[in-house]
Amino acid sequence: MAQLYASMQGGPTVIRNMGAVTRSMGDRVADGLRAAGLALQRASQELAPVEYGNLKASAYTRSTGRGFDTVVEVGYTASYALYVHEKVGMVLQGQARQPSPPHMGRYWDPQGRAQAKFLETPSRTMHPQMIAIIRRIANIT
Amino acid sequence: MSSPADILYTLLEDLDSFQTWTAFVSYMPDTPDKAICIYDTTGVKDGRLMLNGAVIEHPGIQIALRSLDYTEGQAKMAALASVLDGVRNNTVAMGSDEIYSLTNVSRTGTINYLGIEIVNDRRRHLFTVNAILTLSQS
Repeated sequence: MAQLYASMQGGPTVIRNMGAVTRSMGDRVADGLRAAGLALQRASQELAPVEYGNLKASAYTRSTGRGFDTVVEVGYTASYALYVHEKVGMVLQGQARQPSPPHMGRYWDPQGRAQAKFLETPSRTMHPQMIAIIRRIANIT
Repeated sequence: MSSPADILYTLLEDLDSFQTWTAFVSYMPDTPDKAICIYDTTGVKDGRLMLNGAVIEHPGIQIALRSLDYTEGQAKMAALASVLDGVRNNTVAMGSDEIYSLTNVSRTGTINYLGIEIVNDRRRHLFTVNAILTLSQS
């Protein structure tokens, strides 16, 4: 009877390296998610109405968790952000803000490009771009 | 081609969902205090069918409601949200030659309370709910 004996060396090293690759991939995905979040924040701030700049400046991108479990949140902390975001009627668009003073400029300025749904709109229209950012940074082909 | 907000308005009217409330599409005048308005909003573009290149879109809508009484407004908005959740393959006729099939209304969130709007010393509570439609013309 023939017997064959074989031994494998370096198994733990291979497993450890596989773990390292997985961790590295998770970190890159997390970086990609954060970058996509910042891109969304930037696009959203372009659409946010500005009077004194409080709403626009209150935009934030925050990430929690690590690796593949990373959750990125984009939002606004201004107390009236939800009200402005949901005011899709925009009936006062282009009219002077009242009372003036203290208010200045026109509703939904600057340059008439601000709008309600200033966060939801880019989150939908920029979906392919955000996926591309994540893929590029995570090096996913 | 009717707007998605118009189509949803017609469906809700057919279902007698507005009852004693005055409802509008796309523009809400200053009066009455007890009012509902349906707006068209950003929807979702899913892509194209490989078979024929048809673009698949899910239009977005918002239902906005205002009321002098918070409890009444909240209850009405909850009732409307419940009607939206129950939509399933409903047929909407916008005219004899314009028939739509509203397959589904998918709310994108819960009821938003926007706070109080003060117009001529009348303090009106504002609520909104947002949704995405699955809609096709028959």
